[in-house]
Amino acid sequence: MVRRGYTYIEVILAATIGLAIFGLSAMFYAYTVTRSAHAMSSAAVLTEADRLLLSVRKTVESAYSVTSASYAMKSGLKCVMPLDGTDSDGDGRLDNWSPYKIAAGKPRFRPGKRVWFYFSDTSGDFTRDGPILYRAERFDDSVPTALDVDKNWTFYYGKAGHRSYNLIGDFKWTVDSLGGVVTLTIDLSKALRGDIKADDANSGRQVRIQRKAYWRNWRT
Amino acid sequence: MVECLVAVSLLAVCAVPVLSAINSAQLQSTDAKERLIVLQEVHSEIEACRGLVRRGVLSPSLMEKELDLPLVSTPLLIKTETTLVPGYLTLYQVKVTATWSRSSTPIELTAWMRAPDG
Repeated sequence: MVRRGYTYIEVILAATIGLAIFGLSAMFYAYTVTRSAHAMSSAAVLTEADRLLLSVRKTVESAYSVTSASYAMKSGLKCVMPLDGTDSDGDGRLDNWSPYKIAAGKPRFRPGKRVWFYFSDTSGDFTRDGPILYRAERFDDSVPTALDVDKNWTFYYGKAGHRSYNLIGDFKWTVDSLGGVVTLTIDLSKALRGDIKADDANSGRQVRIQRKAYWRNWRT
Repeated sequence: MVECLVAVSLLAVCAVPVLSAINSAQLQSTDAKERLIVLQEVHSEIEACRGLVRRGVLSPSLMEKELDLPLVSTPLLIKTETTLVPGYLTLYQVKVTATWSRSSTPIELTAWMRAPDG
Protein backbone atom coordinates (compact mmCIF):
# COMPACT_ATOMS: atom_id res chain seq x y z
CA MET A 1 0.00 0.00 0.00
CA VAL A 2 1.34 3.40 -0.98
CA ARG A 3 1.46 5.90 1.86
CA ARG A 4 0.11 9.36 0.95
CA GLY A 5 0.47 12.62 2.90
CA TYR A 6 1.43 12.97 6.55
CA THR A 7 -0.21 11.90 9.70
CA TYR A 8 -1.46 14.49 12.14
CA ILE A 9 1.23 13.49 14.64
CA GLU A 10 3.98 14.02 12.06
CA VAL A 11 2.72 17.48 11.19
CA ILE A 12 2.49 18.45 14.86
CA LEU A 13 5.98 17.08 15.52
CA ALA A 14 7.46 18.88 12.50
CA ALA A 15 5.76 22.14 13.48
CA THR A 16 7.00 21.82 17.08
CA ILE A 17 10.57 21.17 16.00
CA GLY A 18 10.37 23.97 13.42
CA LEU A 19 9.05 26.39 16.01
CA ALA A 20 11.72 25.36 18.51
CA ILE A 21 14.45 25.91 15.92
CA PHE A 22 12.93 29.26 14.89
CA GLY A 23 12.62 30.33 18.52
CA LEU A 24 16.20 29.40 19.31
CA SER A 25 17.44 31.17 16.18
CA ALA A 26 15.49 34.31 17.06
CA MET A 27 16.87 34.29 20.62
CA PHE A 28 20.37 33.73 19.34
CA TYR A 29 19.97 36.53 16.80
CA ALA A 30 18.66 38.94 19.45
CA TYR A 31 21.52 38.03 21.80
CA THR A 32 24.11 38.49 19.04
CA VAL A 33 22.68 41.84 17.97
CA THR A 34 22.64 43.07 21.59
CA ARG A 35 26.22 41.92 22.24
CA SER A 36 27.36 43.41 18.95
CA ALA A 37 25.71 46.75 19.81
CA HIS A 38 27.39 46.69 23.24
CA ALA A 39 30.74 45.88 21.66
CA MET A 40 30.41 48.68 19.11
CA SER A 41 29.35 51.27 21.69
CA SER A 42 32.07 50.11 24.07
CA ALA A 43 34.66 50.36 21.29
CA ALA A 44 33.41 53.85 20.36
CA VAL A 45 33.67 55.06 23.97
CA LEU A 46 37.12 53.54 24.49
CA THR A 47 38.36 54.92 21.17
CA GLU A 48 37.14 58.38 22.06
CA ALA A 49 38.71 58.17 25.53
CA ASP A 50 41.94 56.98 23.99
CA ARG A 51 41.89 59.77 21.38
CA LEU A 52 41.32 62.38 24.09
CA LEU A 53 44.06 60.99 26.34
CA LEU A 54 46.47 60.81 23.42
CA SER A 55 45.82 64.41 22.45
CA VAL A 56 46.05 65.82 25.98
CA ARG A 57 49.03 63.61 26.80
CA LYS A 58 50.91 64.82 23.74
CA THR A 59 50.31 68.42 24.80
CA VAL A 60 51.35 67.73 28.41
CA GLU A 61 54.46 65.78 27.40
CA SER A 62 55.59 68.64 25.15
CA ALA A 63 54.83 71.35 27.72
CA TYR A 64 57.27 73.68 29.40
CA SER A 65 55.12 73.65 32.56
CA VAL A 66 51.64 72.54 33.56
CA THR A 67 49.29 73.82 36.27
CA SER A 68 45.73 73.21 37.30
CA ALA A 69 44.52 76.80 37.18
CA SER A 70 41.39 77.93 39.00
CA TYR A 71 39.31 81.02 38.42
CA ALA A 72 35.77 81.84 39.51
CA MET A 73 35.25 78.41 41.15
CA LYS A 74 36.29 76.66 37.98
CA SER A 75 39.48 74.89 37.07
CA GLY A 76 41.23 74.20 33.83
CA LEU A 77 44.39 72.41 32.83
CA LYS A 78 46.86 75.07 31.73
CA CYS A 79 49.87 73.92 29.74
CA VAL A 80 52.56 76.49 29.00
CA MET A 81 54.07 75.33 25.71
CA PRO A 82 57.58 76.10 24.47
CA LEU A 83 57.86 79.18 22.29
CA ASP A 84 59.78 77.52 19.47
CA GLY A 85 58.30 74.86 17.25
CA THR A 86 56.71 74.01 13.94
CA ASP A 87 53.23 73.59 12.59
CA SER A 88 53.44 70.26 10.81
CA ASP A 89 49.76 69.85 9.92
CA GLY A 90 49.17 73.38 8.62
CA ASP A 91 46.36 74.32 11.01
CA GLY A 92 48.09 77.51 12.10
CA ARG A 93 49.06 76.12 15.52
CA LEU A 94 52.39 74.68 16.66
CA ASP A 95 52.32 70.92 17.15
CA ASN A 96 56.03 70.00 17.36
CA TRP A 97 58.27 71.87 19.75
CA SER A 98 62.00 72.34 19.76
CA PRO A 99 64.60 73.91 22.10
CA TYR A 100 65.85 77.40 21.32
CA LYS A 101 69.38 76.43 22.38
CA ILE A 102 71.47 73.66 23.86
CA ALA A 103 73.46 74.56 26.94
CA ALA A 104 75.61 72.23 29.06
CA GLY A 105 74.54 69.40 26.79
CA LYS A 106 70.86 69.88 27.55
CA PRO A 107 67.99 71.34 25.52
CA ARG A 108 66.69 74.69 26.77
CA PHE A 109 63.19 76.05 26.25
CA ARG A 110 61.40 79.33 26.76
CA PRO A 111 57.70 79.76 27.53
CA GLY A 112 55.27 80.39 24.68
CA LYS A 113 51.53 79.95 24.28
CA ARG A 114 49.24 78.72 27.05
CA VAL A 115 47.10 75.78 25.98
CA TRP A 116 44.00 75.29 28.14
CA PHE A 117 41.64 72.33 28.52
CA TYR A 118 38.38 73.11 30.32
CA PHE A 119 34.65 72.47 30.36
CA SER A 120 32.20 75.18 29.37
CA ASP A 121 28.83 75.72 27.71
CA THR A 122 28.24 76.55 24.04
CA SER A 123 29.80 80.00 24.49
CA GLY A 124 33.27 78.55 25.12
CA ASP A 125 33.89 81.14 27.85
CA PHE A 126 36.04 79.72 30.68
CA THR A 127 33.89 81.25 33.41
CA ARG A 128 30.72 79.46 32.26
CA ASP A 129 29.78 75.92 33.31
CA GLY A 130 28.91 73.33 30.72
CA PRO A 131 29.47 69.83 29.37
CA ILE A 132 31.65 70.70 26.38
CA LEU A 133 35.37 70.02 26.65
CA TYR A 134 37.30 72.89 25.07
CA ARG A 135 40.86 73.45 24.04
CA ALA A 136 41.98 77.07 23.84
CA GLU A 137 45.23 78.97 23.30
CA ARG A 138 46.40 82.30 24.66
CA PHE A 139 49.69 84.15 24.78
CA ASP A 140 49.15 85.53 28.31
CA ASP A 141 48.05 84.03 31.65
CA SER A 142 44.46 85.32 31.50
CA VAL A 143 41.69 82.73 31.37
CA PRO A 144 40.53 81.89 27.85
CA THR A 145 37.51 83.49 26.21
CA ALA A 146 35.39 82.31 23.29
CA LEU A 147 37.83 83.98 20.90
CA ASP A 148 40.70 81.73 22.06
CA VAL A 149 38.93 78.42 21.44
CA ASP A 150 40.60 75.88 19.15
CA LYS A 151 37.46 75.07 17.17
CA ASN A 152 38.99 72.31 15.09
CA TRP A 153 39.96 70.39 18.23
CA THR A 154 36.74 71.03 20.14
CA PHE A 155 34.30 70.32 17.30
CA TYR A 156 34.28 68.04 14.29
CA TYR A 157 35.60 70.08 11.39
CA GLY A 158 35.27 73.16 13.59
CA LYS A 159 31.49 73.05 13.32
CA ALA A 160 29.84 74.20 16.57
CA GLY A 161 27.32 71.70 17.88
CA HIS A 162 29.28 68.65 16.79
CA ARG A 163 31.49 67.96 19.79
CA SER A 164 34.63 65.96 19.22
CA TYR A 165 34.33 64.30 22.62
CA ASN A 166 30.66 63.84 23.33
CA LEU A 167 30.80 60.37 24.94
CA ILE A 168 33.17 61.32 27.74
CA GLY A 169 31.21 61.88 30.93
CA ASP A 170 33.93 63.24 33.13
CA PHE A 171 37.53 64.29 32.57
CA LYS A 172 39.74 65.27 35.50
CA TRP A 173 43.39 65.95 36.13
CA THR A 174 45.80 66.30 39.02
CA VAL A 175 49.18 67.98 38.70
CA ASP A 176 52.31 66.95 40.59
CA SER A 177 54.38 70.05 39.97
CA LEU A 178 57.42 68.72 41.87
CA GLY A 179 57.69 65.56 39.80
CA GLY A 180 56.38 67.15 36.61
CA VAL A 181 53.68 64.54 36.21
CA VAL A 182 50.01 65.08 35.31
CA THR A 183 47.49 62.32 36.06
CA LEU A 184 44.60 62.35 33.61
CA THR A 185 41.41 60.51 34.56
CA ILE A 186 38.39 59.78 32.41
CA ASP A 187 35.25 58.38 33.99
CA LEU A 188 33.42 56.02 31.63
CA SER A 189 30.81 54.76 34.09
CA LYS A 190 27.86 56.35 32.31
CA ALA A 191 29.00 55.59 28.80
CA LEU A 192 29.73 51.94 29.56
CA ARG A 193 26.92 51.32 32.02
CA GLY A 194 25.61 48.33 30.05
CA ASP A 195 29.00 46.82 29.52
CA ILE A 196 30.81 46.97 32.83
CA LYS A 197 31.63 44.03 35.05
CA ALA A 198 28.81 42.85 37.31
CA ASP A 199 30.80 43.47 40.49
CA ASP A 200 31.54 47.02 39.32
CA ALA A 201 27.86 47.66 38.74
CA ASN A 202 26.85 46.10 42.04
CA SER A 203 29.46 47.89 44.11
CA GLY A 204 28.80 51.20 42.38
CA ARG A 205 32.49 51.41 41.59
CA GLN A 206 33.30 53.79 38.78
CA VAL A 207 34.96 52.70 35.59
CA ARG A 208 37.93 54.97 35.13
CA ILE A 209 40.84 55.14 32.77
CA GLN A 210 43.86 56.85 34.25
CA ARG A 211 47.05 57.90 32.50
CA LYS A 212 50.15 59.71 33.65
CA ALA A 213 52.13 62.13 31.51
CA TYR A 214 55.43 63.78 32.28
CA TRP A 215 56.27 67.19 30.84
CA ARG A 216 59.66 67.01 29.28
CA ASN A 217 60.55 70.47 27.98
CA TRP A 218 61.01 72.23 31.30
CA ARG A 219 64.66 73.23 31.17
CA THR A 220 65.22 77.00 30.82
CA MET B 1 11.09 10.38 13.49
CA VAL B 2 14.45 9.29 12.17
CA GLU B 3 14.38 12.04 9.51
CA CYS B 4 13.64 14.61 12.18
CA LEU B 5 16.50 13.44 14.34
CA VAL B 6 18.86 13.52 11.36
CA ALA B 7 17.74 17.05 10.49
CA VAL B 8 18.21 18.26 14.07
CA SER B 9 21.63 16.60 14.25
CA LEU B 10 22.71 18.27 11.02
CA LEU B 11 21.55 21.64 12.31
CA ALA B 12 23.46 21.09 15.54
CA VAL B 13 26.58 20.13 13.61
CA CYS B 14 26.29 23.38 11.61
CA ALA B 15 25.59 25.49 14.69
CA VAL B 16 28.68 24.36 16.60
CA PRO B 17 31.29 25.97 14.29
CA VAL B 18 29.21 29.15 14.01
CA LEU B 19 29.00 29.44 17.79
CA SER B 20 32.66 28.62 18.29
CA ALA B 21 33.66 31.22 15.66
CA ILE B 22 31.59 33.89 17.39
CA ASN B 23 33.00 32.89 20.78
CA SER B 24 36.55 32.97 19.49
CA ALA B 25 36.05 36.41 17.89
CA GLN B 26 34.59 37.75 21.12
CA LEU B 27 37.50 36.38 23.16
CA GLN B 28 40.04 37.92 20.80
CA SER B 29 38.25 41.26 20.84
CA THR B 30 38.23 41.25 24.67
CA ASP B 31 41.90 40.26 24.67
CA ALA B 32 42.78 43.15 22.32
CA LYS B 33 40.83 45.62 24.47
CA GLU B 34 42.57 44.41 27.63
CA ARG B 35 46.03 44.56 26.04
CA LEU B 36 45.39 48.15 24.95
CA ILE B 37 44.37 49.16 28.48
CA VAL B 38 47.31 47.32 30.06
CA LEU B 39 49.78 48.82 27.57
CA GLN B 40 48.64 52.30 28.52
CA GLU B 41 48.92 51.41 32.20
CA VAL B 42 52.50 50.28 31.63
CA HIS B 43 53.22 53.53 29.76
CA SER B 44 51.82 55.46 32.74
CA GLU B 45 54.25 53.61 35.02
CA ILE B 46 57.17 54.71 32.86
CA GLU B 47 55.92 58.30 33.00
CA ALA B 48 55.64 58.06 36.79
CA CYS B 49 59.29 56.93 36.88
CA ARG B 50 60.26 60.00 34.87
CA GLY B 51 58.62 62.04 37.62
CA LEU B 52 60.79 60.22 40.18
CA VAL B 53 63.86 61.13 38.11
CA ARG B 54 62.93 64.77 38.27
CA ARG B 55 62.51 64.49 42.03
CA GLY B 56 65.95 62.85 42.05
CA VAL B 57 64.82 59.71 43.89
CA LEU B 58 65.42 57.03 41.26
CA SER B 59 67.63 54.18 42.43
CA PRO B 60 68.12 50.48 41.59
CA SER B 61 65.05 48.64 42.83
CA LEU B 62 62.40 46.04 42.10
CA MET B 63 58.81 46.97 42.85
CA GLU B 64 55.69 44.92 42.37
CA LYS B 65 52.10 46.01 42.68
CA GLU B 66 48.78 44.40 41.95
CA LEU B 67 46.06 46.42 40.29
CA ASP B 68 42.42 45.61 39.71
CA LEU B 69 41.54 47.59 36.61
CA PRO B 70 37.81 47.91 35.96
CA LEU B 71 37.94 46.95 32.28
CA VAL B 72 40.41 44.08 32.71
CA SER B 73 38.89 40.76 33.77
CA THR B 74 41.68 39.53 36.07
CA PRO B 75 44.03 41.34 38.49
CA LEU B 76 47.10 42.85 36.90
CA LEU B 77 50.60 42.43 38.32
CA ILE B 78 52.97 45.27 37.45
CA LYS B 79 56.68 44.74 38.05
CA THR B 80 58.99 47.76 37.78
CA GLU B 81 62.67 46.91 37.70
CA THR B 82 65.20 49.74 37.83
CA THR B 83 68.84 48.88 37.21
CA LEU B 84 71.96 50.93 36.72
CA VAL B 85 73.29 50.52 33.17
CA PRO B 86 76.79 48.93 33.34
CA GLY B 87 79.55 51.48 32.71
CA TYR B 88 77.42 54.49 33.72
CA LEU B 89 76.99 56.23 37.06
CA THR B 90 73.74 58.06 36.36
CA LEU B 91 72.00 56.11 33.59
CA TYR B 92 69.19 53.78 34.62
CA GLN B 93 67.21 51.21 32.73
CA VAL B 94 63.59 51.02 33.79
CA LYS B 95 61.75 47.89 32.71
CA VAL B 96 58.02 47.63 33.40
CA THR B 97 56.35 44.23 32.94
CA ALA B 98 52.62 43.64 33.22
CA THR B 99 51.20 40.14 33.60
CA TRP B 100 47.66 39.00 34.09
CA SER B 101 46.25 35.51 34.03
CA ARG B 102 44.04 35.96 30.97
CA SER B 103 46.97 36.78 28.70
CA SER B 104 49.68 34.22 27.98
CA THR B 105 52.23 36.85 26.92
CA PRO B 106 53.12 39.70 29.28
CA ILE B 107 53.50 43.29 28.12
CA GLU B 108 56.93 44.78 28.67
CA LEU B 109 58.24 48.31 28.08
CA THR B 110 61.78 49.52 28.68
CA ALA B 111 63.04 53.10 28.99
CA TRP B 112 66.36 54.66 29.86
CA MET B 113 66.58 57.62 32.24
CA ARG B 114 69.40 59.72 33.61
CA ALA B 115 69.16 60.54 37.30
CA PRO B 116 69.75 63.05 38.73
CA ASP B 117 68.70 64.98 35.65
CA GLY B 118 68.78 68.69 36.46
